[in-house]
Amino acid sequence: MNNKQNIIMASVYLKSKSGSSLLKTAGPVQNIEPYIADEETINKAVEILEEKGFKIEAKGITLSISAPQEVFEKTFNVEFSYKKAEKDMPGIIICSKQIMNIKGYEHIIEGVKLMTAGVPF
Amino acid sequence: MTNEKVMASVAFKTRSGMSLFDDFNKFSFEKLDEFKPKSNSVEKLIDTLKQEGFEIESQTDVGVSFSGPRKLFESSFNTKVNKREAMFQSAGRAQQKIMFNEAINHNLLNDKVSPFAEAIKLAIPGIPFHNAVHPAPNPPYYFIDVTNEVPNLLNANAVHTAGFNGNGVRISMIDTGIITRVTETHTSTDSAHVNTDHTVRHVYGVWLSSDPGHTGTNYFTGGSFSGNTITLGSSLPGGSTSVETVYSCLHPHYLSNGYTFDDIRAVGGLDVNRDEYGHGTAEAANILGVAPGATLSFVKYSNGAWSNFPLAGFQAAVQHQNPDIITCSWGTSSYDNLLHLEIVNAVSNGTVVIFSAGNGHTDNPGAWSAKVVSTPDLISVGGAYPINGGGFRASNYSSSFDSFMFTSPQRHCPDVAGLVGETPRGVLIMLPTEPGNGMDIDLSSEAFPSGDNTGSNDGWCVCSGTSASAPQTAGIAALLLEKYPNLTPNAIKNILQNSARDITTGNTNSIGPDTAAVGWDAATGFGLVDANAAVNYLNASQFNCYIRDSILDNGTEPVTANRLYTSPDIIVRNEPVLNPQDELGMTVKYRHDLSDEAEDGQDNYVYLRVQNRGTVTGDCTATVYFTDPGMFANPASWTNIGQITIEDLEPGEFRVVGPIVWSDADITSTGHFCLISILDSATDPAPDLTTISSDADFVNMVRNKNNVAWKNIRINDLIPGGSSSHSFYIEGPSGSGHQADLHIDISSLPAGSSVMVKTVKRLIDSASLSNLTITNESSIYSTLNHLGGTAIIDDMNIKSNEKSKVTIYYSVPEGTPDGDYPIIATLYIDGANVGRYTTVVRVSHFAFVGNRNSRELHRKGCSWIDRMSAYNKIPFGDIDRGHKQGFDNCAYCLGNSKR
Repeated sequence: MNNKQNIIMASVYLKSKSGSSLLKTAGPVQNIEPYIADEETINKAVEILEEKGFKIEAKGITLSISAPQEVFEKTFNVEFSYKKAEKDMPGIIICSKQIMNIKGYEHIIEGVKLMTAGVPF
Repeated sequence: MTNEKVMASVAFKTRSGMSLFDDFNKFSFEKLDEFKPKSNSVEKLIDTLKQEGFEIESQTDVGVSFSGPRKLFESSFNTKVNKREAMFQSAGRAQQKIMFNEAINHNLLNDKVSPFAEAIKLAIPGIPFHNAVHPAPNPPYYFIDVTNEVPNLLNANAVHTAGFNGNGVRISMIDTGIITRVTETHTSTDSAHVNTDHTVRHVYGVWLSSDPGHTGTNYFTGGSFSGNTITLGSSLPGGSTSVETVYSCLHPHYLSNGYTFDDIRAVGGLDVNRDEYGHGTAEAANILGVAPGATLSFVKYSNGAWSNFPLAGFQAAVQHQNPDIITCSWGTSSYDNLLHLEIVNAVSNGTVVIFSAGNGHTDNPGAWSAKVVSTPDLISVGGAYPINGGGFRASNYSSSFDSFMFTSPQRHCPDVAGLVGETPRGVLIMLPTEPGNGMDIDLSSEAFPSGDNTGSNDGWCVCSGTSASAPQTAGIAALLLEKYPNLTPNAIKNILQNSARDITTGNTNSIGPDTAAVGWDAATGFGLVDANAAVNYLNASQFNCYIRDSILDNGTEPVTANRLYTSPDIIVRNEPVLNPQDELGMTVKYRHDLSDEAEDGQDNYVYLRVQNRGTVTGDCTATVYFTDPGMFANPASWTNIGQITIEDLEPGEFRVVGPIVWSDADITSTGHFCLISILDSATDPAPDLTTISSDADFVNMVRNKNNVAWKNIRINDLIPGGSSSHSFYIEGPSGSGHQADLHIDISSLPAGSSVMVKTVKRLIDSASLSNLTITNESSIYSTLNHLGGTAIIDDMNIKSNEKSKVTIYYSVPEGTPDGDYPIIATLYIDGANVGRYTTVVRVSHFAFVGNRNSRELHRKGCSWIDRMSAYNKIPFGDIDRGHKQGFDNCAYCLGNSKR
């Protein structure tokens, strides 16, 4: 499956106030404080992403954004492939870059990653 | 009142002259012809009604239904038609309001219709239904329904009767959708309108019934809808036209029960008006079956295909729906750090978060299957199967596992259990779903137990999984929050665990597998959630602080546990704990092996875990004593280690306090001793220790007072099939000619256990033996085989101030049930009891096994464990404790080996 209009969702990691990086933290963390971005960073990130054609789906510790596949391809210079569902694992969309960046805005948006899929029990 | 349309039906005069009402007891299928109308009556009455201005809705051989404006009815039949509403309620359901028309004279007749009709009656109300069959089907095997039996089995009906149904509590569910697409046939009101009998959420199209493939004109295009009415964008060929309408609405199960919904949304551009997979529509019914008064909001995160955004769904629920409770019946394709953080954040902000524990899944990041979301702060819900005829057992369809992700401290899933079916498919609960999609088709494709024997397009499926048990638990949490709105997520989780029903049989779908047993067990955690026990757990208007005597102890006085010397909540550590609430708190509430052996030659640190089972927040003081086990009867001799003040202990709270420094000066190097903790507060005072004058008094105090706990700190953890040993010294008094007798009682050990006793040969040479045989002797030592029960080494000649070591070796067989098995050695000098040396052999759940010989640490289930000798197996509750004792990870099962 390779549909340019297919909606893709991703998580936007924002530059934190403290400088700590959630993107570089592998294991579980229990304290969110070090990873919180300030209001100005959040607002600027929203502005940048909306201008590029992304929809802000939700705001939490990260931003969740969505857009048609072609918007991702154009913005981040990436390609997508689709891995079919297998056993109880859902179909997964794979991006050619694990972490996507917007050039010139690394001081606001640390990186963008595809969202992990859910599996109903 | 408006002049809205009223519907009525005709009861014709029969050709036999018998009355449809007075003679209906004479009716039988053989006599159908006798009750039919006279010939031509139907056509003649239809003509009459049309002339009056009525519209014929339908006709058969035996009846006619017709409609007209209310005023027309009133004028034609010289009556008054009033709107009425009625409320009705079944056990466990929300009250439902129905509206209907009623004429003041019940049998409407006039001169024109009387020749043909015995009576004309206004339509009686019915429950709306779609092409989703309603009520639900009734397949021919054991299953339970979600509105009566699920709440009944979870003891929620008693809570509803007491007036609590979740009213005012906001629950968000994140799943595959809740709105269903339906296709119905209607007769249009006129050429421009179609009336349904329930709220329309979205219209996809209106086609003529003669166009079943929907290839012709979509008469809705450009139209609109409001409430129950669809206004078409283009006119139908005729006024009363049969059309096929495709639109979306809530499943009739939700509509007919009058449940309250708030925000329903979707992320990622998903169609909010559909549940293509059917999972969300099905499992959400569990919430409202248990808490029918709760307000449910929903976020659709997936269409069951490529579009799949659980993190965004969770964030959207938090951001937009202001939930008190979030429930999720799914796992993830890989471990999601961001989701974990959102959960932690939500809980810290006061939201109860509940997740399914999986159906044979774990949170192992390396496994090729869905990963359970196992963040320690959430409530993980597994499964118990309700046995047909009564009772429960662990569900062999649901998961249980030691977390691979959260090992410091070691998290175990599940925390509690809900109702789940059994393998192969968990077919148990009749649940609504989107007709003809996903689960409806999938489950109908095979017969029970691999399928559900219902139709593939009937909008019902019989299923469960831990997808059902999580929302059931959310419903109980809602009942709790309605009664106690200020409970924290920590308190809700604690109360659900403390009030759960113990599940003692059955295995789960896990590595091992895990088997249910008395008390906390790896299969079902603290047990099956119990709504009535949970809602009534807290003592009203009291501050009731307590400290547990065992994992089983939920603060009830007197406690029922047999062994009172095993408090899991008096914890000794050789070093201070960095984050006591994290390391020793709720995540490891089920653990009793958190203590180190007291280390002589340094200070040690005592932590306590305390709870409040009253509804009043309060303060208390905790005092810790240690004593020789021979001195229970003399509290004045106890050594006061220290005291700590506990402030603002909230209702339902589980808190770790400490450390109380146990000074090196107070720790003896020989013998063993016990720790006692006593809580004291103004409203829940400590017992009067001056009343203790015997061992029995002391034991009764511990049993009867929930603010007193006792811990024997010589407890030896053992794996079934494993072995260990302990030693103590027997000491002779000054002077010669003393006789020592040693009684060794192993009657509590399980059958098949083996015990050997080793001591100096000189003592054995002079003694007589009872229930012991000599198996080995050297020039210095004798080794004796204990034959069971109480063995006695009598009349040992003990020298002045002689100190002789006695070592007891023991092993317990494979399959030994979880429990505490004391070995009690009592020493008599010249006939007087001078001391008792008790070692408690504890068999329980451990996540890791160390090899005493190779110093390797293995995860339970590693194939290398089977190759170890019994003596070499050492259990560890978490990986850190293994590392502290110098064990290194097995490269195969744990990785990151240092070798």
